[in-house]
Amino acid sequence: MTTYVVISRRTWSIALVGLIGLGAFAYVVLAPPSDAQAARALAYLDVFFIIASAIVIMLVATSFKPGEALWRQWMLIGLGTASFAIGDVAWAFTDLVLKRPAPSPGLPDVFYFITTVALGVGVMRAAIAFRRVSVTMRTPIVITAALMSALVLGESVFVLMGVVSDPALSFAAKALGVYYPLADIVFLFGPALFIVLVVSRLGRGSLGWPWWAVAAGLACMSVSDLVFSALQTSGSYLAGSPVDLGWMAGFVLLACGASIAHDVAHPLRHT
Amino acid sequence: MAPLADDLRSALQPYLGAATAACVQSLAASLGRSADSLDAADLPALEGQLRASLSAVAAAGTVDTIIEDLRSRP
Repeated sequence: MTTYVVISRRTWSIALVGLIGLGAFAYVVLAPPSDAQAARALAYLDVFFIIASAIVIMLVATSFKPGEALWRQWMLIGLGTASFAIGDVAWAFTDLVLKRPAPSPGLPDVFYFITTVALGVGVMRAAIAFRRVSVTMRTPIVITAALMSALVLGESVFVLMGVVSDPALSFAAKALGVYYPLADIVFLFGPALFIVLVVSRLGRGSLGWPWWAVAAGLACMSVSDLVFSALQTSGSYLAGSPVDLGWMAGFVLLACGASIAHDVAHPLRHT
Repeated sequence: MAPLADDLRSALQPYLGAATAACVQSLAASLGRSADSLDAADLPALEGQLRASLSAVAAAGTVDTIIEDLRSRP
């Protein structure tokens, strides 16, 4: 008997639906309808896809035995995704139902905070676990630490100093203005780079497949977060901006990664 | 009969890819053996080590399948 892993139709379907959704959302973002009310509502189209991604990831996480390593890793990633979806729903509710600008800092930021930490910890746990199958960690650690340090230093000089010294910002706004860019590097970019460096050691080994999609997702989010924090600090962010495309793509990629993890966990047998 | 190490490499290759050789060596070392000196008598202990190592990165079902694959080899 030999076993082999194939990417299932379910995974291809998730990728296809995500791609179609991204195309539709990009169209809405780049060419919004002339009716202002419709344009505002459609600006939150991405939220449905993020909720769907959270559901997919949670379903995959619960398909593993409670307590096993993959269950914990995917539960953390699912928690991060669900938390982002709740934050977005709170933001949309304030904007569309209460008809006032979403407060920032405000309730959604609590959920976005949980998102960054849960995603970062989940992915780092997954990456470090590969040490158990003799994947060497030294080079990935050195490269990730060096790049993260350089980015934090550059960001401190070019972005964070400006935020901290801006007299027009409240303490809470400054704290968020510092937290988001740093969290992008520490919890999104760093873990994404680290797990890519780790699973690249497997070559075509299927245990690495889900994490390529996850790393690509975190990279998309990381870029969106960086742009968002710059726009938010200057007060120019509006829901339905091209920045939202990065988050939507990121969470769709996480859902694809989760589905691939399910495929890897159910290999086909050939005798 | 093919050496156990070869069977182990074949069973792990689809999952661990390029990291297979290092993992097989490490598993053998954990039993106090070299990879090429593993034989059928080591299989029960090897299964335990395999389960402990792989469970960090693979689902329980995947580990069961790999062990079943290993046992089914002549």
